[in-house]
Amino acid sequence: MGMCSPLALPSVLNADEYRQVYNQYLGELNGGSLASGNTSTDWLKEVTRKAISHNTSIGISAGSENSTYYLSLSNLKQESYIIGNDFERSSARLNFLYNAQESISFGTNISASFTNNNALNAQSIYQSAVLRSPIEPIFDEDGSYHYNSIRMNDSNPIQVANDDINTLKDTRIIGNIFGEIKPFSWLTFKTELGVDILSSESYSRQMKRDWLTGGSARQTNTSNRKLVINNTLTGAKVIGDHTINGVIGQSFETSRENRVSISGSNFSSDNVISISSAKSSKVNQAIVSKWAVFSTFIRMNYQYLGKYMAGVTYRLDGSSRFNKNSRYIGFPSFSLGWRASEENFLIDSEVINDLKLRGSIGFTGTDGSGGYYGNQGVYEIVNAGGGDTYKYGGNDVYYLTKANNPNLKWEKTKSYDIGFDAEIFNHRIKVNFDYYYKKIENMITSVNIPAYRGFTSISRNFGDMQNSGFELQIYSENIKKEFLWTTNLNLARNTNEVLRLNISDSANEANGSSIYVEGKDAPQFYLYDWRGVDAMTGNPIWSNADGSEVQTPPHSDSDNKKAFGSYFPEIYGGLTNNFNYKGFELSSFFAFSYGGHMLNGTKAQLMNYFTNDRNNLHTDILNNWKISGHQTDVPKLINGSVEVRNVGGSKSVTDYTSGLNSSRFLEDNSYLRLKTLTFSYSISGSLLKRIKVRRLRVYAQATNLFTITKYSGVDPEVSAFGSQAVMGGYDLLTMPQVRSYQLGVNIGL
Amino acid sequence: MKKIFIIPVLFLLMTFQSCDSELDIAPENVLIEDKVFEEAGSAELAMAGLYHKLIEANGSNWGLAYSIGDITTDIMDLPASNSNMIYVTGNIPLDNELSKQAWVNFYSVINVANVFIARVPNIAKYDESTKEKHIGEAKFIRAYSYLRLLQLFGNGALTGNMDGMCVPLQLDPYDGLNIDNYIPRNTNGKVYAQIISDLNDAVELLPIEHESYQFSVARATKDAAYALLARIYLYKKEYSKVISMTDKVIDAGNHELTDLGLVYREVGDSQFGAFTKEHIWSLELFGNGGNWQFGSNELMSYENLSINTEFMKEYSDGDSRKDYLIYKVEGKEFYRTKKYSEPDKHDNVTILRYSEVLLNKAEALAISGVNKKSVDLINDVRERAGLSGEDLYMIEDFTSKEQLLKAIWQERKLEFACEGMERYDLIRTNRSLLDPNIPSNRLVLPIPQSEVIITEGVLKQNVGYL
Repeated sequence: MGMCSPLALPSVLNADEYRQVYNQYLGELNGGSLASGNTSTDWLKEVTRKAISHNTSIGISAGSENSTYYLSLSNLKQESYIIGNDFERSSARLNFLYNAQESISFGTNISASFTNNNALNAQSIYQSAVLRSPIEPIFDEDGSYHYNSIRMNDSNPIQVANDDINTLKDTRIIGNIFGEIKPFSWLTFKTELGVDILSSESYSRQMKRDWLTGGSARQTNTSNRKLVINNTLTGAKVIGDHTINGVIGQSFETSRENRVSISGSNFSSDNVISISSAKSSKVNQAIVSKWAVFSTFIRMNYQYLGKYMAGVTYRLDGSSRFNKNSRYIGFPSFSLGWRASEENFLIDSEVINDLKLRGSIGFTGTDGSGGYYGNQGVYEIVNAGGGDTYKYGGNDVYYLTKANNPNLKWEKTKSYDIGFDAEIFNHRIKVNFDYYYKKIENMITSVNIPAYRGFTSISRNFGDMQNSGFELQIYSENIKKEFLWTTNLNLARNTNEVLRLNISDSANEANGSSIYVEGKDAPQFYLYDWRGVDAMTGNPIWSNADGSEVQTPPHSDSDNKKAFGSYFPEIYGGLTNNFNYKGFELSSFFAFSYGGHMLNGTKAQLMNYFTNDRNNLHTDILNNWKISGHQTDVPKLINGSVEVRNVGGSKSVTDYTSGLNSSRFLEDNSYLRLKTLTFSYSISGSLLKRIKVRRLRVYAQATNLFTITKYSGVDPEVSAFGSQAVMGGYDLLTMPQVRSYQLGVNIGL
Repeated sequence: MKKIFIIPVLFLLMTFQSCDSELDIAPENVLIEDKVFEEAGSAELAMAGLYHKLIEANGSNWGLAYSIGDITTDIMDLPASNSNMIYVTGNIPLDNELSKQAWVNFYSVINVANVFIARVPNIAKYDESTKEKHIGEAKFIRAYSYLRLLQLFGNGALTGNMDGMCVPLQLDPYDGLNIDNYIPRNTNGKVYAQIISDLNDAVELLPIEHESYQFSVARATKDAAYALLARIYLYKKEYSKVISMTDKVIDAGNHELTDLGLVYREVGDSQFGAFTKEHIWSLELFGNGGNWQFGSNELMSYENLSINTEFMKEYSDGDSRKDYLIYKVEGKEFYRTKKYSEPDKHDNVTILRYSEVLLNKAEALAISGVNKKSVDLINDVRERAGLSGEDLYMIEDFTSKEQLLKAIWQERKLEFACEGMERYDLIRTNRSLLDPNIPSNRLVLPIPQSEVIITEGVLKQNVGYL
């Protein structure tokens, strides 16, 4: 069992500070102020908690002469550190293998899991708690939830956490049956039939609010049935000094998904869950979608004297989702290896115990259409959101959703890899090293085109790019006596470079703040150059394209944007140390990253006091420039980059200081973090026998204990868009990871 | 034992054979261009898509492309804090939403219209009369889209500057991009000429009516093409052509002034949304029924912003247009238009009405001097609004043609309030918008700055925004 809490929380203003800053701002703007009051709410404190988790699992494996089996059961209950949100999963697995005769065997693997995810609102609750004004109360005087009247369709995060429902219940059964025949001792035929059945049910409900009479709900039931057939023929034969082995195989996978989505609104009471009792309800979607994939592959490996190795693989994939004319795509790869330590000049070496050099070349590619109809123009019935379709005069309409794109060429990738595996000093140091180089030609990406052509962006072969880098792993047994100390170090570095661009720089400004530039790594942050705050005037200083420094916003000319490097770190890796003494073990794992960048959108949002929403702000805002000579990085509240216009009787404000398109919020996110620290004790021999247990271990573990970083956000490891490579390096009010403490017992029977 | 070896090999071969046909799973809801235009049924859905996209281009999803015609005039009353005040003051940033939304969507419509015009003659296998109808509708829609772009972006287009920069004339469908072939902005004169040429073709190709009365208004007809031509000639100040185009519509006799209550029905009326003989062309949404999800106008402003109470005083007592136009929002000091009041936002978007044809003719005649016919035409419109006696004009009321023109312009304002017209009437008659300080070269929007950037300056920004 364990306990967890957020790593850290953004440092936001308390009610007094909030009033002070906004009154100062509104006073300078138009002599206004906030309505007086003394409400004070710490929203982050209200929505977070110390969360508890339990994890129980049991595994039994056993076997007889002809059969082996393995059974495991597990249950995980995990609370989120956001109140009212939790997650539970139970699963069971059974593996069984039976050897009927020497040449025939068969078996089955079955697993079932039940998931109840009730933590889907956590991210949105977190975000609204960070931004919510601390002078808003949780409840009105009559005890009902309070809504902020300035905001359109406001939701109270406490109500969302406690009352609203957003759950996903999954039931999944994966099973397969396989049989193996060995017609000859060197040949094995294996056939396998697998099913994967997933049934999931999601229900989300917004309870009634002052702007949402009776609340609204949506329920989506999905059932997905997948069937897989795999056949492989494996042969291995030694003829004198030559060893040959090969596999020929094929697989066929087909999937059918049935999705029904219904929604309803205006329930008679918040206690009524069923959509059938909503006053208005409808079917949004009832769709069956199917796809199938067929692949076949052949692999041959050859070895001579255990010293020289060569291999070739060819794989052919066909998919129902591909254009019929290029439905099958096949690519080869080749590899060579040399075990140098078997050669005469090394075989007796005291230092080098094992050394293998290897290299490979592979080819892949994609036609980029990703669709059944290739690059032809496609018309679609358009979903209007909520599964309904657009209509004109009561009829469905076709929209041209994908342009005819006849010039699109295949994107081709060549990959080279060389490396070595070595064991030295009596096998006490093991080293694995890989260097790779990958060149992508005619890389396909979506680029902007002039909108008068009817589309704003289109897939194009935008250029060539290369990725290269290395991965190094060193494992060392530093002390190997009764006291054992081992170290494992991983290092990796990846550099990429845009070699050639078919399109102009300006056409590829991906999302307004990143860009591809020939000769540089991609994607480059593409931002206006913020140079701090003038201590004399309190205005922001910007650097223009021509290098001149100005105190007015450079935003009217996008030529003033500059490339600020990519988010990729120079080098990253991990270091594990294990100390072992008489059953006691201390293990630590550090992760680190050096030279990467992050656009701190959380801070940018918390530095924006201009919107009518009057969001809460970062405590750094308190350092705003006050008086001539004041050295600070926060400009005065109304400064040269905040345009105030008199419109009618009031003021209209345009702010250029808090956007994500300036380098103000671009930060180095290098870090060193103690990811896990574990202390354990394994009870030894004689005691175990007495209690008839094979293994007994008690442990205490802590995760994310400390981090050393200059990054000013809460967590330098977050990525707002997940693992999407083009969109790395964004922190947009992304939930920080947890710091957790766990206690546990492992028992092996 | 050797025979066992054959079984797996056979098995492999057999499955390979059978799997290829298993991969023939075409996606549902999707068709390729060649197939869409082969059959009349699917081509009709693509045509419906064009009309629907025009609703989007005019500003569904809270856009302003239609309602800017009212909010930049004294018909609407924007709170000073409203973010759309930039359009009222002319202090419009290059990357504003309205420019982008209108430009992107109207050109998206134009692209599909180009597909119809280019592909239907070559691919379509259906009957000739349907083919003609489709090409006619596509040309009509292309002309209307270029007119809207000209109204919004054509520098001096409404004040007679035929050499001013308008928009690039893209007349071929998208078929791959050649960056050396970017089209620069054409002049207002060229764009007008293209619009008129398309409409002249459309007049020949379009039917007088479609399968139902509702569709005859929801889709383009001969009368719609004539009525649109009349509006364009009025903008171009070619008054004799305005008269001949309006006469075509009047003489055809398909349209008339109907009871105002039928033109703008009350919410809750069982016939709400049904067209009358007054309507010549509207974008139809009511027939969709159901809830919001089937497409809605959500035009910015009309359901969110107040009508200017000073403007309301311009209606005479007893002018029923005031009742049909305006209602007071319950419990608030807000007045809104009944023209856009349906809770599910299914009000049809009015584009061409018969009263415009009459007032266009009245104005064209008045250019030659005070005349009885013009006065009669204004009175027709006023009488329909329930006015009589003192409230009707007499020819003696006008001592100069300027007076008469002013009366016609005022009548247009009262008649077409909240129909996205007033802004362009003010500009073309050299009267000032709500904010009199906007420089004349800012009476157009900036073109989206991204177009200037992507074409590397082939498309140039409107001079007022340099």
